[in-house]
Amino acid sequence: MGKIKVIISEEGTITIEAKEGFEGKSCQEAIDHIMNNLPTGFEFDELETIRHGNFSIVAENEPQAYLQKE
Amino acid sequence: MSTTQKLSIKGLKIGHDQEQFDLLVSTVRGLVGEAGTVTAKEKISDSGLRIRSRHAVAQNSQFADIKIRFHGASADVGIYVSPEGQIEMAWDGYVVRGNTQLKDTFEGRSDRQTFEKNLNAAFVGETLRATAERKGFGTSELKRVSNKKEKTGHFELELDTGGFGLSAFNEKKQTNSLNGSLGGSF
Repeated sequence: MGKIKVIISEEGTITIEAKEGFEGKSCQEAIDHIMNNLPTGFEFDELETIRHGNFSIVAENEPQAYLQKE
Repeated sequence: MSTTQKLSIKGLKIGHDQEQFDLLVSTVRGLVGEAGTVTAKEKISDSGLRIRSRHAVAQNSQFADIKIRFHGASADVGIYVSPEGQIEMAWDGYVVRGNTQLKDTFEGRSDRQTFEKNLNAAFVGETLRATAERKGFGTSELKRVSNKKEKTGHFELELDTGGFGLSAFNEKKQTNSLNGSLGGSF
């Protein structure tokens, strides 16, 4: 079982934390599953996503910023 | 003389479908809370709701899809969905001046920019929640957490993914995924 916490700031930053069940693994696939299935026509272009993809392994992968608009 | 005119809310867009419109309405209702009354079209295809203002209202802003009357105000805030799905808002500062409920919710702030930022963040959060639910994940309610000291707030949501994807990872995939970009597919 995996638990993910999503935090969205007023400034438009989404922080995603893998809380449980992802020991040694990334929660990226679960997040992509949601992002790839957003409703048709739904768009937001000024949000920045920071993913803590590997919650249980400290500092192996630093959180990285992803801009949604290139 | 001033004119009441709608302006875009960042790049926030929805599809022309009832479900997304209903989610937008419920998000607006949740944000306004006890600070005022929200009136919305029942169907996205219905005629717009005429808004009242102290000023002349620009011709393209006279009919809103969602109307907010804050307590103590004699004019409305209008929220619009353009034919292209862009979400827009007409908000005159005087409409909410002195509204204590709104100030209580938003750490002493009652300006357009604060409401717009919060609507943007809340609607994105509600859409993520609804999508996760539709795809079989367990979800908590979206809640706003206030940080009074820093005069800001954020929205939190917890997702229970069950066993989704947990057996599909390997070291290579993990590294690659963290180097990827979300691109412009949103």
